[in-house]
Amino acid sequence: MKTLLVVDDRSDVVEVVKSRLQANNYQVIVASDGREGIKKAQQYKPDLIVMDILMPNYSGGEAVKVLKSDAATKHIPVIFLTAAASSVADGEEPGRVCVDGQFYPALGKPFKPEKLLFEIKKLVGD
Amino acid sequence: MPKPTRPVSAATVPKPVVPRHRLEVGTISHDDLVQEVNMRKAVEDKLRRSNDGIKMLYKELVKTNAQLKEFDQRKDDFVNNVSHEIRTPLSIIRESISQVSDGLFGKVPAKQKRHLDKSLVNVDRLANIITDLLDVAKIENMKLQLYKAKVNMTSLVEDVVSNFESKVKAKGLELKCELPDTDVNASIDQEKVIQVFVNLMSNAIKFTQKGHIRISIEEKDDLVECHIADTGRGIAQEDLPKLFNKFEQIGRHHGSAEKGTGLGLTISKGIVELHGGKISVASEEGKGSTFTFTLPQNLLHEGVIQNLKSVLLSAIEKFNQFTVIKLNVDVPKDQLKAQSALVDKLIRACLYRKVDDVVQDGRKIYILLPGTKKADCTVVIERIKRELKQHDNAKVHLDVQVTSYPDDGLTEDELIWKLLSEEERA
Repeated sequence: MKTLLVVDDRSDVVEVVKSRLQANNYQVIVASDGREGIKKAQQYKPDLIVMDILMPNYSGGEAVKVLKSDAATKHIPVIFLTAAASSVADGEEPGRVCVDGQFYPALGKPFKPEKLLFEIKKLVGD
Repeated sequence: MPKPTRPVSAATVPKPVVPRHRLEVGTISHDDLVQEVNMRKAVEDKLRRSNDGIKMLYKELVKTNAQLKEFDQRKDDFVNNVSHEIRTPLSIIRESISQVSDGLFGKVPAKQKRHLDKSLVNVDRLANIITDLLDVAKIENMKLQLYKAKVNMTSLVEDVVSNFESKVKAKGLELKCELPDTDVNASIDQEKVIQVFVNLMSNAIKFTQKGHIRISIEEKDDLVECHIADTGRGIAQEDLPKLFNKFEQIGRHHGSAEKGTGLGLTISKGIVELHGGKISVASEEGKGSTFTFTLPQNLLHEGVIQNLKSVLLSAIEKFNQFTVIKLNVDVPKDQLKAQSALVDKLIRACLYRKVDDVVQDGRKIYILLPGTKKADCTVVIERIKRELKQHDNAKVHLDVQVTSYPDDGLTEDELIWKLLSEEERA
């Protein structure tokens, strides 16, 4: 069973994303800001991280920068899930968010669960 | 570009001095001469004072402008925050409903599921309206930033059309695509122009029950003209003028299955006009509609003028005096790209101070020298000439023009006007 880390400062967002992922047979760990996200990622080495962008104590972008510069976590794929409208347009394809010249798939909130699951599956398998 | 006004308006200029006594030829008395000289001095004094006054007023305006800009920024932040604050709870509502509907917490009776799904559709609609409203707000405040690049319109249209193929087929319509065999390049913001095509294509499909959708582009002078034509229900003559208005969903009462946000055409019009193009529609009820929009092929020049304008504006705010040198570099067209990079590098090497700035537009190069008087810039020009000669005397021929603030103009528009050649002003 794959393990996913969900990082979002809104506990109710974390809750709904978690229950959706669990229903699709993923094991889910959570964090409530960028700093905790980094810690949990280093501790548990999840197969993928679903990351919010606007958060206190390290934004999603800053957290990804840290994780990508750490040999132990730099291989972990990241999907951004954000309400910042300017970052993501709700097109057919996932949007992209650029951190340090590197592009990551990004979904806008409100997200379509089938899109989120599809993007996760693309990166980690079932 | 508006013709800059002179710094002194007609109202403040004193009437020309006419000596009280018309003098006979050859008999100018000493007194009259003294009087005339004094009067002229007085006039000059007045002019200088009013000019100083205008300069002060201008500085004041620049300050006020900066304050207004700050308010404007706060307003933009507010709009963005509102969008963010609405989207987060919407995502929780959507996902909660969606999970119940998907049976994550137990089987849901069909009737209840229908209601839940209806809620989902409308949450999505609300999210789309927020996105579109944000776009409209940006367009209306001239805040929609275009990221222009040279784009091949032929392949852009091919991509858009291929994304619609299945949708068109599913409705039993024919999709006709008429594109030139060659590349058609335009200087556009690719994402935004795709948005226009997608809006117009979606509308065409939505309002067409049988027949075809035809999409075509053609080059006309320095424009690219794009057409999206359908054989749908068409638009009543009296509705045509309202078509591009906000929330104007013509024919909504016909009960369309897919409801839009009512902002698609407003946004499309805004995007096309931001590019300097035009959008129009021809339609006959029951026969179909044709939307046509144009995009300028090359807006490089206009972009540079905008850039130059902002450089000049901030220089006016920061410095009491500066000089702009414009160099016309004569390079054969096929060597322009390679040469301009080199020329740019050489010129920057000639500028010793950090505050000096360079704006380049193909053959034209604008150099900003803060704190420098017109007379003092010859040193720099000579240095540049020497440098260019050393490296490449065969290909580069220089033509130099100099304009100074505040002597030649008090506003950025005025200075640019002075710098542009006859043909550029047109």
